[in-house]
Amino acid sequence: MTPLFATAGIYWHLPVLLVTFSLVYSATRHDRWDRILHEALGWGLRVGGFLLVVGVALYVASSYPDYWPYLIGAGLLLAAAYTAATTVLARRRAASHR
Amino acid sequence: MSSPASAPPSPPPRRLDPLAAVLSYLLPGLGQVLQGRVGKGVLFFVCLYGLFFYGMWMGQMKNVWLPDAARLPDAEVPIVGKLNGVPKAVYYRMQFLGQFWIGVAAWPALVQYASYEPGEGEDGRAKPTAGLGYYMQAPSEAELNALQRGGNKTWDLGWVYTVIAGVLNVLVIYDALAGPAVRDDHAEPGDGPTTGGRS
Repeated sequence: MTPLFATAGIYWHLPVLLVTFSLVYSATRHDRWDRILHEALGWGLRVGGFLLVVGVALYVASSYPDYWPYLIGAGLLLAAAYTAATTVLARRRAASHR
Repeated sequence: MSSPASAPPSPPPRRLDPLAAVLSYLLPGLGQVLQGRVGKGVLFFVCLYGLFFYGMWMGQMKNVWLPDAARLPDAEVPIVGKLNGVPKAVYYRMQFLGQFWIGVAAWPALVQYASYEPGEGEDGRAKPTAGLGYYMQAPSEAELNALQRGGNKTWDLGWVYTVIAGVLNVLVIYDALAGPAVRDDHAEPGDGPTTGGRS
């Protein structure tokens, strides 16, 4: 049994934290419910996605310890692709508002 | 690019509401309810009390406490010097610095700290306090060892949840004091004041 699954029981508690944090943090930023819920969804997806990526990376690193350089390379590529995509989208959005 | 002349006028400065901030410290969301933002107040109360007591439940209701400062070794802090009393207890239980901000829900730990009488309770624990029993009382070394050895890190994760609940309430207190961080331009009447002050 891998270390990830040996302690898998505690991961079932994470959604409680994720939902609560997202809702409370967003509600301290806005007063309107549509904006609170929209921002909470965004935070939930971002934090959940980040935790998922970190969890998968640690799982792969612990399961295949000889392949960690490839893992770091893949991570850097993904980060670069994400940065490029968000930059392009932000520029398009800014151009459409002009 | 917009010129300075066409820029929208800056909104008026926010009115601070210290009473609402104190109420939101005591009970998460109570300040917002006082300001007429009932929905948000209920959301804060349910979420933060839910998270705090969920964390306590994960820790078998034994992860919010202040240790007895008299039985702890000396605590020396640079510049400040030797600590005594509550600061010394907090030095040895830093988690309580975060848990404290949940408000009244963490006060039993302070009551237990103030009325701590060692060695007269069950299993080497301190004497139970009238009205509270062992609730939020500092556990014995044997109990702590059993909690940390027996579980699968759930006890540790539990105190993390209680600390996060307390720290999130600091944001809620600020929301009660000065309103939300972003001033929504078209707030609906039911959403309450966007200036943060009571109407």
